[in-house]
Amino acid sequence: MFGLALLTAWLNIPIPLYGTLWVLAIAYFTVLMPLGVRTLSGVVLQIDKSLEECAQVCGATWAHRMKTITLPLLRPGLVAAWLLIFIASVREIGVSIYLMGPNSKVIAPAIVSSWSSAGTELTAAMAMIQTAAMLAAVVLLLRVAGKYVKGV
Amino acid sequence: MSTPAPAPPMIAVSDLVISYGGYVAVKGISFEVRRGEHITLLGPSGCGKTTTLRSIAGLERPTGGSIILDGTPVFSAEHRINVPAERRGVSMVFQSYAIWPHMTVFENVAYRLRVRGIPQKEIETKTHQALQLVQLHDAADRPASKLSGGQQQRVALGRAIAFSPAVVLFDEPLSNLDAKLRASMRLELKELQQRLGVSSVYVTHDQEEALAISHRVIVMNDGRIEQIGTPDEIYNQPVSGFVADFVGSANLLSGTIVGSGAQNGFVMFQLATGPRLTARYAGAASGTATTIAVRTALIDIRRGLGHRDDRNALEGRVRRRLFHGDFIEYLIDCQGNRVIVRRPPTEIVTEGEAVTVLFSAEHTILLDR
Repeated sequence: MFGLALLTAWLNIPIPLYGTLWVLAIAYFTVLMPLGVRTLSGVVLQIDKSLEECAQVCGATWAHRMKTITLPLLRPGLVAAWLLIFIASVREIGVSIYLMGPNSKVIAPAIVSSWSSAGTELTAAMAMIQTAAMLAAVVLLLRVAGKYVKGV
Repeated sequence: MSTPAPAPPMIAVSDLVISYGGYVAVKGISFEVRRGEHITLLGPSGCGKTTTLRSIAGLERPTGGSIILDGTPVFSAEHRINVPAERRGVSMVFQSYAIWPHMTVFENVAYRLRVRGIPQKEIETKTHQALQLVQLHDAADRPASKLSGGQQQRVALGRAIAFSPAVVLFDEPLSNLDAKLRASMRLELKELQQRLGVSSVYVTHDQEEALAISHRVIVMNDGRIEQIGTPDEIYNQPVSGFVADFVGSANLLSGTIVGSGAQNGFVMFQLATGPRLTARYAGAASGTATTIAVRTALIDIRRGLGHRDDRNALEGRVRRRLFHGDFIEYLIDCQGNRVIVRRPPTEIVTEGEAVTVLFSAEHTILLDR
């Protein structure tokens, strides 16, 4: 549904984005934004407001508070949200299948099309690549996140 | 407890009104904090005491009135002044301690000094001094999130005093500690206050804490000030039933003044249920006062009926006995009045026993409201 809507929209908007990687970037941004916002709002709500208020009373300006208090406290949450969105976007298919062009292929729809045209070998190989990439990202991020989470 | 010499007040709050939408949390209160004075805002939850404190810190925007810090207006509804919290230069200890979990104890305490751009050497000296004052010197390099509640409280305190502030605001700093720790922190706080010579505003709902550590107490109820006075005045000369009951529990008995009014500061008071008592006339009370207060701890119990001396006497029967450890609380039905009495655990009267309760006229206080 979302894919069709985006397809119609970007075909009619007189900016020549259709068929490029940009339209995919915009599509992913649009489709996955609710997931990111929901994840992060939970993280933001968990931070006790008095932690920032205390820094404020200590004389820290808004920018300094962001840098020294808010962002360091948000970091584990930001990492987790990034990971979640990464996984969701790699396996995303409903929208990207409509917006993919010959010069801007993404892996999930490519797997589907190879399944119907090229045969199982190529499909299996691509699926393996997709799985390995996700696994690598998960391991890397859990390492990084673990370092911060331990301190908190 | 000496009164500081007259000087311009450190904090002057006048006609402060704070409302959220249609709800008015603080309904026009005024008070002053003198230099070196420790004032406590005391009241039940929701009486506006924390809101008042937060508006002094600049974390809450009042709707009316003015706040002057050390001669400088930091808020004035009339002149449209509202200095942001980061430029007010006050110090605050939060109820939740607000310890930054991603920093060490040292970094927590040094934060304010760093924000002010003080040279590294001075930061180290001052932070170590503050840590020594709160007895956390050995824990300086530990992560702040690994500390116990009492230690976190000390970090918060150290952070508040590290840069030698003139004003420290306390928002129920001891309410999350257990009773034993609270008692010892109370003592430490008082000693620290004296050593540093700061002015402070302290918010609490614990009347014992308020009486123990402050020069003056402001009793608040429903967004208004009920009474301002020294702990002694608040305890011994409450102006209203609310103050008498909230600050140290009291029995409130209703009736009317009989006879020709005050004689040597005492009046005859007839309870609505019949018996006549002698009550102290505190001066502020009007001739139409209809309530007297008797502290639960200042009432004597005798077994059996018919005991008389120069004190007020009521006869009754023990309805309930509640063992509290340090004292025993008795609920006594006295000729239609419910009287609560607290006695040391050495005197034991059983439930159902007939007793005479005795209390001196000196401790029977006539109330205005």
